[in-house]
Amino acid sequence: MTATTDKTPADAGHPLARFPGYDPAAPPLEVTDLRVAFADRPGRPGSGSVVVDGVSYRTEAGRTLAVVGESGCGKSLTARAVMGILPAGAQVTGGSVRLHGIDLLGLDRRALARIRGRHISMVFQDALSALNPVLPVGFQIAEVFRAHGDLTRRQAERQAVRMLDRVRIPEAARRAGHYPHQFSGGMRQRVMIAMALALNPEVVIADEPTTALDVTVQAQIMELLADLQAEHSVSLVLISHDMGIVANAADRVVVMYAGRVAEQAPAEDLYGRPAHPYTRALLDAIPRRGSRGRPLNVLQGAPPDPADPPQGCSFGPRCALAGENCRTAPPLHAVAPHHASACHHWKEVAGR
Amino acid sequence: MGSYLLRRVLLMVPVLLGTTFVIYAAVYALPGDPVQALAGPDHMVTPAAAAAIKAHYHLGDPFLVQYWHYLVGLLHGDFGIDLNNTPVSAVIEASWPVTVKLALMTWVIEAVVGVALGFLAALRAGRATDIAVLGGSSLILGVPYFITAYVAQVFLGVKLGWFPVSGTDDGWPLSYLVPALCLALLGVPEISRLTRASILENLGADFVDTATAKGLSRARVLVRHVLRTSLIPVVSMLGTNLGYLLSGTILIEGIFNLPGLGYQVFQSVQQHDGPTVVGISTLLVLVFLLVNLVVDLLYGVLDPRIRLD
Repeated sequence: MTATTDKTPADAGHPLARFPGYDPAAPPLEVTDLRVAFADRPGRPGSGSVVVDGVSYRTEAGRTLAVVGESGCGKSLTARAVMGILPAGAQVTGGSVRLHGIDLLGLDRRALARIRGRHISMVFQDALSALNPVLPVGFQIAEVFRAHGDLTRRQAERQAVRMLDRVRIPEAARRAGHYPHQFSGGMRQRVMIAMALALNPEVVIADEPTTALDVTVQAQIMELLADLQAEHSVSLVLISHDMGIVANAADRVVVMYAGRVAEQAPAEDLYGRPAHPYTRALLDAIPRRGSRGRPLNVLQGAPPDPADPPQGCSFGPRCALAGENCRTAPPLHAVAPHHASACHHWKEVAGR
Repeated sequence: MGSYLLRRVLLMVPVLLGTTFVIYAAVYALPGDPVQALAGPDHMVTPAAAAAIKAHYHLGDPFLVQYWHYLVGLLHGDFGIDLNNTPVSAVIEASWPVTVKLALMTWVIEAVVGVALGFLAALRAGRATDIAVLGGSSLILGVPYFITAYVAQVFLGVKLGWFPVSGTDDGWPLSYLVPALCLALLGVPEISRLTRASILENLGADFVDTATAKGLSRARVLVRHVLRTSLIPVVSMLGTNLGYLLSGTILIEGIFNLPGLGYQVFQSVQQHDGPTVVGISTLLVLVFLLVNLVVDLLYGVLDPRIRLD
């Protein structure tokens, strides 16, 4: 399929138009039935485990899609599969990842390199380890400009300073020459954001961008992300386990459990009328005004071992509603338009 | 930084005093009569001549007085006179270029081959290349290097005649090639193992994923982010190795008859030539200390997280 033949001249000029499958009307990011497994090497722990099992979601321009779930539920691995930076041993075993219709999994390494950082980028959780400790931050941001354009080193460094200024780092020109360890946690995360947003990509994946930060800095970073997102109508994928942050930032929420989508809904629907017992448990665990002195409703137990998944519904072993029919894996039931729940008992949960 | 440098230089003073003292004492304690050694075994030395020589070299003074005389001379830049009545500084002047040429050549081979093999082994970790590098390294380390040197001398020099057997008549680089290779065999396994481990550690680092996610090419990620960061400990080891090479090539210089500093020390020990042994040894200690200082300063440049103060 050629990308350019049936497009208007304006589309043909788009930098993505040279990649096969480009469709400006397609969602910025569409993940379909994605599967990730660790390579089967007998004797190695975790080998052969399916860690992402048929995850689908799509994003919209200028909107935020939040992916929530406990540690190990596969939310980060899904994002890494999208970026093509899975850890050693893990590999995509099925499904597709499309950026404006372009099949990212089908691209060769060089083509992918031209898209990464330019059209889709990622903000990592721990900026201290995600930044190279021995290169100045200005240089590391400038690398994005140099990798995707014919800028001289000088010009790229100037652009880097401009980006540092844009993420509100004081004295940007001077700070550009500093190394990551010379910044505070919040400032480092700003550097990461500057790097990810340098070329105004269509999609930005933020993997727990505020986990390592204290609460006031968290708020600043989320605000900065929202501002930058609005400026260029970036499609943001926010990975988090903090239901509070997600409530403030997300337009749509995907709840993941044990490598699968448990529930998916517009944010207000999900918070107002959860239709999966796991979602409800997550919401019940949020401390609220008036809950002082009373124990929180913390979900008991641990997620299943991906090497030894339970039969049927993976949430069954921790679920109060689990019954005979939960021995079979639940399909996604449509709760409402754009609202789906993978629970046999979704009516009970939603109608409480 | 300035105060750090000053402190390091000042620290060298007691180290140098200590080493010269130990070396001086060791030479003093050597069995045999230096006067007789000077005259040669077949010559009778008249008591008057012996007394004159003893007075001239302060040989009759107590040990500490002798050491004091030597130290005062050293501080004036005077390494003393050896038993052939040549100033030790002249011996040093004639032999240091040989040692420096040999050391630098060895060092470059070590660095280039070691880092290249380590890089390759890390990228192919667990596969044939990696195992071959490991096996080769173990084999080389298992054979004492003077045996390798003799074998190389016989095979490459005598049998095949490709290289000079010994001496420096063919000049640089031909006369130095085989000795440098033999010496480098000692450092290459060390450097390549360290490089491999360091690269493997950094290959899995988060900042490598960041670099990939930025859209950098694989080559750029590997060179700019992985190699650059992995070389920090390697540079440190290379620096220390240069110090060793500049100060300790006695065996190889002996085998290949290269009249460098190590060779001179070896000869002087046999001839009970105290001033030469102590003089050259002191110089070598000083070089070793200076090289180490430079390495430590370089470390601060390569790794901005390290503060020198």
